[in-house]
Amino acid sequence: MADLNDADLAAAVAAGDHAALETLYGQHGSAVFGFARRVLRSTPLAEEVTQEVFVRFWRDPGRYDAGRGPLRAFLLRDTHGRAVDLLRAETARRAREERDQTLASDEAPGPEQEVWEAVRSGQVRSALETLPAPEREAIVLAFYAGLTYQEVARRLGEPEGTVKSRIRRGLERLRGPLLQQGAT
Amino acid sequence: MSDRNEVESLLGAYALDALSLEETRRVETALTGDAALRDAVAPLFAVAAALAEGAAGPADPPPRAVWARIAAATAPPRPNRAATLSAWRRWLGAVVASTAVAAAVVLAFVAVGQHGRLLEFERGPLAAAAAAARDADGSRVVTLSGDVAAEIVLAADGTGYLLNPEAPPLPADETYQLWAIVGDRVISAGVLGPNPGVSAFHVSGEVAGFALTVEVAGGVVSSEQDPVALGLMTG
Repeated sequence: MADLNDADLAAAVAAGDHAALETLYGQHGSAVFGFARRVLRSTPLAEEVTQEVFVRFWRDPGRYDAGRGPLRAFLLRDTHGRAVDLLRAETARRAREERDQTLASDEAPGPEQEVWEAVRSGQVRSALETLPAPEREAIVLAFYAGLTYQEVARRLGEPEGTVKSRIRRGLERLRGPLLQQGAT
Repeated sequence: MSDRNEVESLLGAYALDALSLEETRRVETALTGDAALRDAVAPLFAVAAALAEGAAGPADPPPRAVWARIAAATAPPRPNRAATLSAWRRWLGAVVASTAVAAAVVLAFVAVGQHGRLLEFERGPLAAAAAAARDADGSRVVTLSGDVAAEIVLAADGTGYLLNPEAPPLPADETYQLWAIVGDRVISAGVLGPNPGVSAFHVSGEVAGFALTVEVAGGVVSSEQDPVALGLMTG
């Protein structure tokens, strides 16, 4: 089972092979959990997201198209989506609880700073550091802090169109250093 | 800017899950019919995955209980499912399809997340209210069992709390729905969303039991589904 490629493993899961799901979890569960925990900064929430990602894949493996990239990339993207949902809900809950308080923008580093500092891969950090600061800032806030591009624009005091463009340009620049060299 | 150009301008943010729910749906609709857009976004997804790997770090294994929960959620139906359904049918008879009435419900869930999840809010106050109801005079507790498990505390005034739902998350186009069995009628007690947590509801009348079904997102007025959990009041 461990020798199956992504397409065959996904097909086995689609056929109801529970051992294939366990193999899949063994191969990618740590990456899914670790990433969710970095974004959410909460082990219980990361556990919830990890469970959702694999149960969701079991229920609907047809969402994965082997022709579009590795299965690990697909699972991590799903992880990010789920984590962002929870992150935004928690943010809204905290905003309600703290609605009579005003947080200064120059107070202790926000969550995006903590997540940036938790980017463990030297290659990813190096690649991000090659970007112009405005592009790197927009990508870090959008991806690791779970903000929409509109929220990033408000945070940075920039037009929304500018932020959209910076995100796109930054991602295009990262293709070389991250994809050609196989970042891990 | 043309609509397609506008969608293209959103692809970078889309790859990073940095769009609103409405914009996400708009981009996904466009992607289904435009191979060039799909080709354009594919490498952006790959970059996002590399960014995710960079934050995952080496050897961050989840607790063993996570796999246990996944295994339980993806296991085949339990062998006692037939007995559970028999009890459901005995209580409801032929009334299920014809007399279910959508009752007014009060639930604490509010927001719909980017991927259609109903997200749990105000976990603390609801849990506290449920605990208080459990200890109040006249309250009853019923355990729902079947393919999923949960507990309901029903106060004397008809206020109910769904607690500790052990329900595998559903796809975004499905939802759990809670039903109250009142006499020979089945009344909807609330649409719980695809990933329910603690919730509150209210039901009138002499409640004989509760059931959970899986329905299309938004719920239904009357269910045609077999319950995934059932609990009958005792005492």
